[in-house]
Amino acid sequence: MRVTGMLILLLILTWQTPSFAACAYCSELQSWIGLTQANPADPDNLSTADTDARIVEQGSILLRQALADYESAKGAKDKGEHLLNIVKILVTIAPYDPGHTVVEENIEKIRKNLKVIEGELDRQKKSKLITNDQWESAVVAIGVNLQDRR
Amino acid sequence: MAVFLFVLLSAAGVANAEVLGSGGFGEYFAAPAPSPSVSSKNFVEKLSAAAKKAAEKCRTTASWLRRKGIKKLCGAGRSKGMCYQAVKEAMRAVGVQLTGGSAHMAHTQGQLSKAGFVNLLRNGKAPNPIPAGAVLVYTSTKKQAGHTHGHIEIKTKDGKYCSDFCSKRPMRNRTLVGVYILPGGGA
Repeated sequence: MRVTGMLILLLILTWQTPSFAACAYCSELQSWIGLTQANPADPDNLSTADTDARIVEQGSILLRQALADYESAKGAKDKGEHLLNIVKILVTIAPYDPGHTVVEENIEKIRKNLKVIEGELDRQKKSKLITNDQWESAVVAIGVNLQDRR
Repeated sequence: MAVFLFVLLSAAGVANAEVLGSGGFGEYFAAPAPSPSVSSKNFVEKLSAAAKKAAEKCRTTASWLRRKGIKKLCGAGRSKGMCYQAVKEAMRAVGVQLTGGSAHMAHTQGQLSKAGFVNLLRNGKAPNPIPAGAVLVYTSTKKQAGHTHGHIEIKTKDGKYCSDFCSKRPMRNRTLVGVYILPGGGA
């Protein structure tokens, strides 16, 4: 009984914690997140245009990979992990990409999987895994690109 | 009849070929109405201030964002998806009337040229650095599937690129088709 309980707890912990086990681009994603953390976003003046451009370029590649991996993943667990990565990239990139160009480049795949991405963003906000500001930034980036930008 | 028309238009002060940058009536009728109030005096300062104001302005969102509880987007920190509307407002403040629903029209319909602006882009190459007060026009690339409107932004005096938001760098992954300045505008 105790062992079963431990196993269930382990399963829950594995599910809640973003895992990079099945992620083909895990090291890049981790180093990229390290780069963004070393360069806390300040839309006014802290980060330089060059660093921002680097982060946005890398983020765009990673988001494309994460979306492709999500679509090709078979099991629910794998899909869940890639979905976590998609949300992680969306919320990390938003402060560096005021023009929402990364989401724009991937909008067709985001549109195709909108319900699950939207649901995951809402779930993470509700569970306080992401802040309200992070949630809003990601949602705005998606929403602006879903409408007819002119 | 032609003489009568010429006299009529001249009297109204709208057939000024110098302002239009054109030589005939055909071009005039195809062009947006030019504003006689375009002045090169302090143009960059005025345009920069107007561009920042337009970028800050709150704009209403479309249905998906409204459903998520976000009815308005305010501030210059991020795009609201209305770049041409913001640039049109900024240009109107300095006496330039732009028309149409897509950002690329400012270039493809020759609207900026007809208002006296000059395109500095040569063989696809932009001047380096891009002068303050320049209006940058982009078309979409294949990456922007379904996004046919292009992009337009104004380089402000403090080096930012403003449309319905302001950024430290020009728009990425778009094809730049115009870097327009007003000659004598202090750019």
